[in-house]
Amino acid sequence: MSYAIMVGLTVLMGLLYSWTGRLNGRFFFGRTVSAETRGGETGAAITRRYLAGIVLTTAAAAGIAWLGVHAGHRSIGAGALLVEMVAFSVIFARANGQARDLAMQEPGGDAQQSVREVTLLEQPAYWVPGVGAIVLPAALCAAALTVAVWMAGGESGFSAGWDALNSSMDGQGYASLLGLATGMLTAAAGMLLAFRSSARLRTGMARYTVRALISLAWVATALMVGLLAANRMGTAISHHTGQGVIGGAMIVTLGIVLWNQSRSRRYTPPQVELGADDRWRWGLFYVDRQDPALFVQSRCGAGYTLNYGRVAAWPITLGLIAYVVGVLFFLPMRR
Amino acid sequence: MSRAVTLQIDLSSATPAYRQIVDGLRTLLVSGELRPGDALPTVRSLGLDLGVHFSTVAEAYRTLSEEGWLELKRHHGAFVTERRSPAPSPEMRAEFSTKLRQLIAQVRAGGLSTEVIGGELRKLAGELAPVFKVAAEESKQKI
Repeated sequence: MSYAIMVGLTVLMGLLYSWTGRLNGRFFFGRTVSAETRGGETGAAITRRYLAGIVLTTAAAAGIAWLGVHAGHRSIGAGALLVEMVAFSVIFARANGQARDLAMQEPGGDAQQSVREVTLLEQPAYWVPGVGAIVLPAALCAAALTVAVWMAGGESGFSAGWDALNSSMDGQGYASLLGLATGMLTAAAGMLLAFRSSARLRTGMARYTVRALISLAWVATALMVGLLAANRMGTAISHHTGQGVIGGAMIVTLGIVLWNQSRSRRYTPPQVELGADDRWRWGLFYVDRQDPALFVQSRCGAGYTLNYGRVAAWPITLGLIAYVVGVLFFLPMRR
Repeated sequence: MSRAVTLQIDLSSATPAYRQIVDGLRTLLVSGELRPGDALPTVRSLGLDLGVHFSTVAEAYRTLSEEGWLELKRHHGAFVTERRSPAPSPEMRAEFSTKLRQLIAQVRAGGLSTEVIGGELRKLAGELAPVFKVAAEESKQKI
């Protein structure tokens, strides 16, 4: 991955944070504050300081990533991107604290809502895939892999076919790409299974998250089947082609996620999450051990985040961090 | 088109969430807002929507199932059943009368006037009139 892409990513991240941090019209940096108060002098000052912090951090991260080109250290750009994300979280948390102070000044401000009301006979207004439909992309990949092994082995048997396919994949530069496709597919299918059983599905926002995860699973499946077919046809993948495929897959992924997640501004979060200011740590982390939901609508931007009161949230977070760090640090080193 | 039938609980109330769910659903069942054949959300789905543990909802569903209001189907949720009202015992009538008097005494002590209480009781009687009518017709058919 070139450093030009790294600099571009740092700037893109800055733009994303400046947009998502304020997009949910119901909340003000993760707190419940009335429109009049957040539009007032103090509210406007909080917004200005937040945006100034984002701009300065973006400029610094882009500068560090650019310096990496001249310093010759491959991981500098990736490091700048990670530090930038942490810095953005700190800036958001600071704005969240200031918004909390502002909410306290409002009459009845920061009050917690204890009444919860649900509509009983209403079903999700979209198709919620069953376990079979979620496993289908993985089954297709497994079938494609079996066919590829059988073709590689011929009459020598499955084990020899597996070895032949492996060495052919390595020799033709497919290994990283297959790793990316497998990671995408596992993450999308796993998240979809978890989301289906641990999120409040009868909301408009859930529809877009389910749709995004299904799309990602099929993009990963298409990538994997395409790679296996190309390998069997004897097409070698050059370093630049590999970069192009990875870049393309990441752009498609980002596009799908952003398009679907941006829909969150249209939807009110479920009632359980509306009066829950005290359950948000720094406006970033939702912690409620009583709430069985693992996925809750994010207040620090668009889309969903995890309920860190549930044990399952921690391995998922560590897995996602490991995946992002792996993509940022490991893939650029493969030549 | 689905009917707008809502269930409400208050987590700050002294009444346990399980009890509130049972009472809330029973009220909807008695009033006819929930009808035989209606499918209630699964234990998991209702627990998620209310933000309470699944076992709380499961216990409430079991209680209503034991009372004959719901049929529980594994992996498919709970369904409202056709329920024949059991013949009321004299003790139940006495208990109802005692509880009603206690409640009226409590709200009067809290400052509510007899006019307001009477108004609420008349309103309730009006709401229950269709239920009385159905019950009277059922009794005629039995005779």
